[in-house]
Amino acid sequence: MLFLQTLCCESLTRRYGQKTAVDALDLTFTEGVWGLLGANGAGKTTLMRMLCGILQPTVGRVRYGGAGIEALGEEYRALLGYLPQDFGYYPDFTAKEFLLYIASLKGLSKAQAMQRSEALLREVGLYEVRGKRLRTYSGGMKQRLGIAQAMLNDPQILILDEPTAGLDPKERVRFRNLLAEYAQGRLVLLSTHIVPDVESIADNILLMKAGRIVEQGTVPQLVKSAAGRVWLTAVPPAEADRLEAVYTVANRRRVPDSDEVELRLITADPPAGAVPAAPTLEDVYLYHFADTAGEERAV
Amino acid sequence: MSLYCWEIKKTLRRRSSAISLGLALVLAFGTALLIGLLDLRHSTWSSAGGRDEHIDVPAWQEVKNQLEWTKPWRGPLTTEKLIAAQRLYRGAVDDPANSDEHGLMYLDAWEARVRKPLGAMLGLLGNSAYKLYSAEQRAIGPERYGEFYARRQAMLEQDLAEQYKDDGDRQFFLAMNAQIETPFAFGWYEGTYLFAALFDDTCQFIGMLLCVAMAPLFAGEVQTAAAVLLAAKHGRAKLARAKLAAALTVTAVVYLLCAGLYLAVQVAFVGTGGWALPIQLSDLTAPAAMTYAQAQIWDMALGLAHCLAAVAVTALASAMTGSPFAALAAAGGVLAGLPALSNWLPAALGEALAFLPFVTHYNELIHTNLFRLFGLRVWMPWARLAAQPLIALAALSLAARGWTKRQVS
Repeated sequence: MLFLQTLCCESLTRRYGQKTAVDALDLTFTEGVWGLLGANGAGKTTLMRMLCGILQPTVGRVRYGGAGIEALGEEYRALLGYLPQDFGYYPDFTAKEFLLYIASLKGLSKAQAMQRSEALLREVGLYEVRGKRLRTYSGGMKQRLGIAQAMLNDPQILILDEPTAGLDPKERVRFRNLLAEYAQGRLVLLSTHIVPDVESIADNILLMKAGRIVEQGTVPQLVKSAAGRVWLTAVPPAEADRLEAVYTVANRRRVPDSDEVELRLITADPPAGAVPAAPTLEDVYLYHFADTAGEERAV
Repeated sequence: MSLYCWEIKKTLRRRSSAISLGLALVLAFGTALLIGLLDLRHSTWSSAGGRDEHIDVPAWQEVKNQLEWTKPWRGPLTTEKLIAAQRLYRGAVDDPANSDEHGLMYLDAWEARVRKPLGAMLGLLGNSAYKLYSAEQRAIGPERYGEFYARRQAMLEQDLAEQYKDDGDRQFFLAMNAQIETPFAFGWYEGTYLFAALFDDTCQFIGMLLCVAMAPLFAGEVQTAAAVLLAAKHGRAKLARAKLAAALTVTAVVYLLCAGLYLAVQVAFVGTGGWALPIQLSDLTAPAAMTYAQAQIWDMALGLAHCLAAVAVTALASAMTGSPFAALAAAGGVLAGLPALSNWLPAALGEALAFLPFVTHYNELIHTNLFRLFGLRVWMPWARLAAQPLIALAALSLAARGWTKRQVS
């Protein structure tokens, strides 16, 4: 068994025909929670698949502890837990059967499999419905089961692709707490385009755009990088509409007891009368992804 | 539970697979039942003398009749018996009292004077008239049956001379033929022959359903959990081996259940008496010293080998494609499409395609086809049987490799 060492990407590139999904990434992951933020199509899933060894890079390689993960094979996969995006299930299995099957795939002994699957079913709140067929599960329940299967082998490297998709706010909080506790001494990489999911638990944030890492650092570092780019202004609704067409607007709200509207603008060149505001991680995200589709701004 | 057991469980739980496997069992039982009920019944009509008569004997009664009527002829099929049988036949058909002015026999006379006294001997005489004497049965003098075995030998030699220029090839089959005991053992063989010869069609459908059941083996994972499986410690080579072993196990067990059901219905209808008789009763110039039991064992073993090889080819298609439908289409293209094209392909390729699963059937046993391997002569039924594990092994190893190297893009 290998113990946690650094996971490195060297010139990691993946092309699909003319399109470059991941473009010559050089990254080094150490222990802690890593948040990978980016819009849909930024290359997050492709990067994660290459880190898991289920997708070959076109150029470059992934090394763990200095050795190529392909050469490590089973030894590397034994350390790995992975929750893919759009994960399908076996509808005729129960949650318990599903976890026991994955445990068998992960090489757990029968006793370990029973103990871990029961513990995880409790942790993700599915213990009471463990005997029900997965075809009867809601999307959120399936997602929680997906998280449980990824953690089944107590992995040193946990890679979660959009893990909070389909979870309600309460479940998202429970997931964040679970992950924060789990991450001690391990490497956890989770991708999302929902900023608050990583803001409170990630030690390091990677902002990915068009296959490249455009910004990297801790939350305070990234927030600091946005200083002077976040502004507040209160204007009449008609003026607010005009400004919205010109600037990236992080938030729009009516000012209480007034006819004016307050806009939170992301820009280095604010309109007259705007006052600086303390940036958040979401502002940093919007600053970099202002040109992506509106739905990507969802929080 | 081991991965192998999990994969068996997954296969049986998968709705499409469970339905296909269930249908295979129903098909085996149902076809055997239909063969028994429909093909064994006796139905005939006659318009002799303008009477327009009709007889319909249900299967169970017809079997009972045939067993009873054949009893006097049972034992060694001597030329004396054949002469006596033909004499009886000629006596009945030549008697003007049994026919109208156009020579058509009255139905009651046919039943009482021909079918009842001859039993299964009637079918044998009919076969031999066509095959050995190239004449209508009613035109053959009874004494000519004195040379029944000599004519059979001459006919086989003539067939071999037409098929082979090499004396060694002819001698191969003549040596095989020399093992056949004469006079043949005789009894009611027709029911056993019918079930044995018709199993191939059923087997082909069973194989098809097994392929449908196994098409999602790997391809089904692509739409569900491939990314999780391939990232797991044992998710590649070990999982591929477990999946393939499970697929072969389920195939073998379901096939054996199907064959068992088929045989059970067969025995219920026609009993086991026919198994001890030589296959030459239905195919006079067949060169192999085989009983119907041995022929049916070969046929069912070949069916099992065909099913396993077909499932292995389907598993390979499944490991190479992204959906069970694509896998099934690819496997169908190889297993059904290629043999259908064999007439338009170069002869050598066409012959090679004949080794694919479900191309060969029971009739191979009565042919005098040879396969040459490094100067060694192998009777084609054995070569066809031996080819199936080789096809299966090649497909299985490629399927395992395909899954092990699979990427999720």
